[in-house]
Amino acid sequence: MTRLEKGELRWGLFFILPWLLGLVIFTAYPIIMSFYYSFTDYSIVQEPFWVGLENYRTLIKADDLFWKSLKNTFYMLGFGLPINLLAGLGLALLLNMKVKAMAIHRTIFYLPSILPEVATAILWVWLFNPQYGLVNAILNWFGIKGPGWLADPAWAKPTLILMGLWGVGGGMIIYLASLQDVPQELYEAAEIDGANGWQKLINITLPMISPVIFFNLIMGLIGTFQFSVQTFVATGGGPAYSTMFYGLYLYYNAFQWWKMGYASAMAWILFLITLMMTIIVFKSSARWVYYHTGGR
Amino acid sequence: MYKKLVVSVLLFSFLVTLSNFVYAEKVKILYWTGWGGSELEDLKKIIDEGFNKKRTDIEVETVTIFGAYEKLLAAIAGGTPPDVVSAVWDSQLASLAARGAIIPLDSYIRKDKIRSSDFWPRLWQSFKYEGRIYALAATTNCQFTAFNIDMVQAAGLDPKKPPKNTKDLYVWAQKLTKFDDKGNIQILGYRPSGIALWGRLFGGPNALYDEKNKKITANNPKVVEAMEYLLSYNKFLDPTKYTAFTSSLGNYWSPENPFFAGKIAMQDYGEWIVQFGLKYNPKLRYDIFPFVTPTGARDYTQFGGSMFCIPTGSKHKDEAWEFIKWITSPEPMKKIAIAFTNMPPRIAVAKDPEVLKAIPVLKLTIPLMEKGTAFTSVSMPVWQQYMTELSAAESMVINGQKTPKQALDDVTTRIQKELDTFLARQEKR
Amino acid sequence: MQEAIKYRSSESWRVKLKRKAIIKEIVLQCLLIFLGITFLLPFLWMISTSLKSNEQIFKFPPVWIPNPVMWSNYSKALQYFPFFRFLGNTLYITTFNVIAAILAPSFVAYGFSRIKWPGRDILFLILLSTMMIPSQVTMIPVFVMFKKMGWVGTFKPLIVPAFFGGGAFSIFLMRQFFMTIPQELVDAAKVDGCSHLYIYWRIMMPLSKPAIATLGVFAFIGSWRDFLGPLIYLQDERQYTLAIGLRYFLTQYGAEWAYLMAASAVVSLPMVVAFFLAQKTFIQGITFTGIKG
Repeated sequence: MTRLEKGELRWGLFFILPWLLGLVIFTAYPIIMSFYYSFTDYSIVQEPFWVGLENYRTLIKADDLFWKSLKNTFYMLGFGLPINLLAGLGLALLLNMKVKAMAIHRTIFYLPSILPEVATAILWVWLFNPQYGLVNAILNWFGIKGPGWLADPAWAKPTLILMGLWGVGGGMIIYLASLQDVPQELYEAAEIDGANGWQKLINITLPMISPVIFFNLIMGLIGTFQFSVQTFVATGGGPAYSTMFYGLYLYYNAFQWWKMGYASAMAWILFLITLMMTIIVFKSSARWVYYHTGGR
Repeated sequence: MYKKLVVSVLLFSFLVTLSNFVYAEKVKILYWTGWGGSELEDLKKIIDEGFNKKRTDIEVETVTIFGAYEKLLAAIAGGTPPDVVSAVWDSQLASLAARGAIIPLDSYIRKDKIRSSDFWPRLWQSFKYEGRIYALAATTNCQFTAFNIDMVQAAGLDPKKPPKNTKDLYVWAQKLTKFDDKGNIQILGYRPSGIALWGRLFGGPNALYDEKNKKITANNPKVVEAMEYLLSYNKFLDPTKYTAFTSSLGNYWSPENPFFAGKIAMQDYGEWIVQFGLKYNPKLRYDIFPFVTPTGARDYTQFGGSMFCIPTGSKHKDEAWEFIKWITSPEPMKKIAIAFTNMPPRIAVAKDPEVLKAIPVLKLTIPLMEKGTAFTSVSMPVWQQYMTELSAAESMVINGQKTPKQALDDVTTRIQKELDTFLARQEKR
Repeated sequence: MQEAIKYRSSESWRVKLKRKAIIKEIVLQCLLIFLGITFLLPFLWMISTSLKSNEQIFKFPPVWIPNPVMWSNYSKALQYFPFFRFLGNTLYITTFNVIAAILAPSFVAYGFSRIKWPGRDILFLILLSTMMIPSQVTMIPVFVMFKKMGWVGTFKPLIVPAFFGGGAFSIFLMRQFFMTIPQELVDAAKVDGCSHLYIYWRIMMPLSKPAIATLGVFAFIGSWRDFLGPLIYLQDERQYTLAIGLRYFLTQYGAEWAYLMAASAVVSLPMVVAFFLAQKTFIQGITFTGIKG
């Protein structure tokens, strides 16, 4: 290594040092510790107490609620996530058209996703109030009798999916950014070949933005397993545990019941699940994600 | 030179004494309360006038964690708890004590000669865990059932002859419930809830736990029978219609309170009903009767309330005790009882004519407290979890996901296991 | 082919194209306006409810225009919870997070983009892969760590971590932006004998204003709405932020919907303002950098 190279290495490390320290303190060390805690009974008030595989055994063999929360979460993965991804993509395609006053349109659709989630959760609880809520009032106007929404175990999850659609702007903006990266020449060339709108979408747009669809899919997968403020505020996991999701149950175990060891075991199971799903998505991505090299 | 030294030493020591004198100002202690709203205002006033203004050595800062009770455990776990806390329910006391999160008060109680015989005997028992005292109370509540006299009369029932047993109660509940033409609930007559309460009304105060053998007895036939009783209300109250109705109800602590707004004809209450009546709807005529049982025995009540305790991490334990000693003494206890309309934990205060006048319902609840059949949380380390599991089981039964027997068997197995592991680990630690 | 070109240059084709464009514009506008209204409806309902009297709130079918208009709901809502204290706490945390978001990711991103050193690309890959770690895995040990440091019950756990790089996503965004700045500028500065610190601070930073502004706005919004952090780390009412204060307001005044809506509107307002002010940079900032896999 030349002196110049050594100097550059030193400078490089100097600049990334804050992140590197953060990686050790806030990621690497915690991951190791949570692995250790997952084999203990740890209430924080008392020191960790080694219990071996007990936490894992209880979770898998004796905790109905764990399975219920997993089932609920997979429901959201199966229905909520695809709907959300499609809605975000559809909206982005619409907002990528060249029409007047687009800036205002974009702002309107993006706005809900940056509002404080507590405020929007409170708002939606009120909107979905079975007796006085606006939603049932509108349905009533069409002669439909609205369901109990968040109050009904059968409807609570679909209601949360609907609530999620309002915040679709976050994913939309990322799609939008990538749509603007698609080279215009490709469309022009296709037009000359006589391609219609649908063909352009399937053959140009979707392949070109597939890396971003992939990114949103992975983030959505991980997000579905996280603690959701909306759910916490709007239902707290009820009614009859119908909205007790994995992230919420983990939060309750850790920070309401102070079963840190048990919650750490849950976190590790979650880690393995997301890892597995990410690998599957990655493997499959070779078939549908198109990386265009060269850049701009 | 020598002289200078002496003078400076003298001067120095003088300054130190002076500064000590100056800095011997009030010790500030932080008190977390669970009360909010107007009760918090009343409480702050009582503390300021009765304690802060009179004591030269201690100053209490009262902060509420109303609605954020989980913050207490966070603070204790985080190692930065307040000095005194009363946002601890009787149901939490044992689990906090068992984990060493709060300190025993026995030595203070002995030193200051607090007499157990001054308090309601069953209540005093609830201050204890494994024979040591961990808390004192400034308030408590006994529960009973209240009904709206006008609604009862309108339904053709006699308000002078309230239900005597669980069968009567069912009949009243059904007659008092009103539906609209679409079959939605308009006015709810009554729906019993809380298997921890009803299990013990059916099977006696010790129905849920065998303290001697440390055995969970949630699947005791009497408790199963109670669960079946709760389920039987589904016959006229469809669970989805019922949840739709309850989710549209107004806030309990407001003039929209469903009982006082005429949405519910009959509901379980405690002494605070007096205060609610005065505040939310003085025109509403109501009467009360003790909880009913299948056998017609009517001497049961469930009581509970907030406990004053000192977290292990408190930095001013002696001062904290001084405050607890004061607030549980007769004078402030009387003021709080009248302001909150609660049952005073001290027998003599409860029987004070001024208190009886302010809280007429005490006439019903004092005899219930005097009997040995009043029940509250059981002093065992996993009680809270037990309660959570029981209410989850109840909701599963009501929603038809499990049978009463099945649900209670599951709770028994799970909580027994929790208890056994806890005790075994506690021994090994 | 020739026919087609001939046709396309003809007059009738251009008229047809124009008519087609107008129809397309109208259809799209209608669709967007319809969707936009459904997106705005909840907001309008929030404002409408916040100005209603209790009697009007529970009217069925519901009314849209409050009568009388209860402006007092707002002052009452702000009195019901210690709004200004919560606001102060929120601003305190937010300010530090915005400062961190301006400094930290750009600093690290410089090391990942404008200096060539062995191992850089591997570390960058690690950085990207940390995005895939669910935060739940690290949450508990981090809490325990802060507890041992005596930081639980202070604002520090909500501020200090932001200075350690500011998150993989921000670093990634910043790096992408730096990559678009011509290397010649850096090379020229190097020839002049400028140090990396100088290049970072005096050349890269001034050129990256849109990206930095984007990160700043992101941080502002992020820490203004952060809920889980304050929920875990802050203790009593004296420390609450608006987001968490609002939640306890919910349990405290359960069905006082007018106050709840008024409080929600007030807490949301700064987000709306921030977004309108930064709208252009915001959407551009993301678009500029592009998010490529």
